[in-house]
Amino acid sequence: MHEERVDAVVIGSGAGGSVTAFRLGRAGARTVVLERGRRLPPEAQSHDELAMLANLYKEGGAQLTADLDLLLLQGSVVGGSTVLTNGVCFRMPESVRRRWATQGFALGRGELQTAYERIEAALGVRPMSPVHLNPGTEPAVKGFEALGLDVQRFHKNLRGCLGCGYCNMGCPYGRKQDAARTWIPWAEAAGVDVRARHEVLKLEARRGRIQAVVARDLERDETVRLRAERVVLAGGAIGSPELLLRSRLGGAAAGRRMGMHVGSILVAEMDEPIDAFLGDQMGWWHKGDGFALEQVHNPPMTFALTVPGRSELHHERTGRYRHLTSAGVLVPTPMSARVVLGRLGRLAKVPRADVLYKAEASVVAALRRGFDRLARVYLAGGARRVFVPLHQGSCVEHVDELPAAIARIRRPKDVPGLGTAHPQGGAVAGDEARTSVVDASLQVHGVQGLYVVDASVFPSCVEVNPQLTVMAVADAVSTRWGLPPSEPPMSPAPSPARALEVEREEETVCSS
Amino acid sequence: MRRLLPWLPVFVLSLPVSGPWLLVTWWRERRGRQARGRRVLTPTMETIVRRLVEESITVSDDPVPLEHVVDNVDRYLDAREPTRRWRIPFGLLLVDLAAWTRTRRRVTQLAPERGREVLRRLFDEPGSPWARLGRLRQLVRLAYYAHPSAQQWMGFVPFDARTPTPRPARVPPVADLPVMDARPLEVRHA
Ligand SMILES: Cc1cc2nc3c(=O)[nH]c(=O)nc-3n(C[C@H](O)[C@H](O)[C@H](O)COP(=O)(O)OP(=O)(O)OC[C@H]3O[C@@H](n4cnc5c(N)ncnc54)[C@H](O)[C@@H]3O)c2cc1C
Ligand code: SF4
Repeated sequence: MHEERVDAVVIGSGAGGSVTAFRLGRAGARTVVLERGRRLPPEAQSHDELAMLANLYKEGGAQLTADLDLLLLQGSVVGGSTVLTNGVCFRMPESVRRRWATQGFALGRGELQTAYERIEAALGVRPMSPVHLNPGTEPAVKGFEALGLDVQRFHKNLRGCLGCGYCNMGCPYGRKQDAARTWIPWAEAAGVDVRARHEVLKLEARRGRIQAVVARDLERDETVRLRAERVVLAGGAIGSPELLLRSRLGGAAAGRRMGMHVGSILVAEMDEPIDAFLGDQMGWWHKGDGFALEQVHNPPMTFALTVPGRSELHHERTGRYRHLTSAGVLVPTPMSARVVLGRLGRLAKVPRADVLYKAEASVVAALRRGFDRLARVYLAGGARRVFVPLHQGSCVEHVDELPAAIARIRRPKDVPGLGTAHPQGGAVAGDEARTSVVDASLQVHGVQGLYVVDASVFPSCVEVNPQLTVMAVADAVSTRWGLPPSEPPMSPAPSPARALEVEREEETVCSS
Repeated sequence: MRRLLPWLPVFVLSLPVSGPWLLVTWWRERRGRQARGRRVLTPTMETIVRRLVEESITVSDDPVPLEHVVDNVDRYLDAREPTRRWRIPFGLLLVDLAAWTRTRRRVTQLAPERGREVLRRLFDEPGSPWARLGRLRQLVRLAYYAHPSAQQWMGFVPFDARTPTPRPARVPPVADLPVMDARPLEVRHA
């Protein structure tokens, strides 16, 4: 086994890990980031959806809950899940900030505000360009207007976006200001050593202090032991609790109180071709009662998975791709899911985590309300018909038919493609060791020097897309640790290898 | 899983006979995989994939040759990161055995038509303990619609093939869609 000694080890290079590594590096700490996934720069990314799914996503995008009912989407690549985002950036609702404070994780308003502002400036967060709203936006906005409902355009961390519509597969043009394009290179410039294809297997602690991490270099097939006084666990919800459970750290609360924004996609069909693939996948957002609606128009391969129906019916509907547009319903769940070490996995040398979750009746009810509203919006916006996501593919042409179709959503398994890209919690912050894993400085109760800085510390769902909040929490907490505030450079110019497209973008955008 | 437990003693008792058979089968499957130039799919898995495609994407004017779908499944399984890589191949083999519990024959031993029918029953019959294996349909859909011919058939125009249009001509009529209010922490609710 290869042994090393450093000041700090950060496990995971996603939203939480990358920002923390940058702050540690700037503070002069000898820091190593260990990331299980590969390093895939924009030049190595492409529009080959199948290859990107296999290379960027954890378990090739096929990570499921233990009962196989829910898809759990997470990144496994340098930059973590931020590489797969649509660049959507939200600040957390004030109501959630207050709720967290009552749950033992108080974040000052000013403290958060400063962190958000710093991150937004660094990543160039701004309203997305209307030029890249895809043509499917129009019927939706018309529908919202007809129903007198509010709808808004996203803020995003994109720079010089070309509107190719493949954000969930990375960005081969280097326009998305994900962690792999920003915090990671900035951390490296500050001396941080980022090691891809290194999976951490175990944390070692003794007498209430973190001692070391044991990792596997997947490239060389060799075990590495890194001793450090500060270890920051940022493997994401699921990854961080898994590692705590495997190392028997974090107490009884490890793996408990996990939640997610669970959802699926509803497809609407227009009479005329609208070619909704011409533009950004996500443009608009609507907040409902216990749910949010967000536009999502997937590129062809993943789109086909969201079209309900079997065999010929599915194929025929998918063939109408040029007429189709879609959006998702997102419902924040209670923190009732659990991360446990898998039953079969326990026999393995490196036990893997299973996620246990039974959707509450309130969650199913919110999903129903969300699909109902979305269907009404599209029908009011001129859709010829909508496909309520049911295995048999319930097709609705008139609002009168809607209640019967929606009523058929009784359990999660009735909804094809139900899943989450926003798992949260599992190593939550709070002031009691019985019910939480980390304290307000995100240090694991009773283990000095071990911190968790990622979405797993959220005491409840953040209720909006989480990446910006994960980064802001990491930034704010780094300041709490006494690391000097450090202004990051501005986000980099688009990849020079694609200079041609930069010019093209200045002048034009693309249509079919 | 629990429903499979009653089979466990049967499996253990049959090991003296089934053990050597399993070994020979494993060796044959490995050889078959190498002979066909596949990286992950063994001949049995490949047949299951074919039946799944026939069962879930039955069309007369098929734009994608079946062979290419199988190639894509193999490519995807090979490129996946190491965590739980065994799950899908194992699932494919389980489908073969699942059919045996119903018909005393494996899917690979059934005529294609009958194989498709058995798969449909396994996945769709209410209360079937194998229903969750129906998720494998998504795998073959991925492999099918990832193919450029399928995408062309859908009417999709790849980004590189799109003609550049001057910016002003493309600003959609909904360009005045209000921007969400990001400054205060509170998001606006409808
Ligand atoms: C498809 C998709 C689209 C999304 N779109 C948006 C969006 O538009 N806006 C938004 O706000 N949010 C979005 N999200 C969610 C957002 O990306 C995540 O909430 C956020 O990145 C979580 O940050 P994190 O630090 O907790 O974990 P991650 O960013 O997931 O990072 C965790 C990292 O740790 C690594 N890791 C885990 N375990 C180990 C180990 N044992 N050893 C070494 N490395 C390990 C993982 O490989 C991973 O790279 C999206 C997510 C997905 C999947
Ligand atoms: S160019 Fe724009 S739309 Fe395309 S992947 Fe990059 S950020 Fe997303």
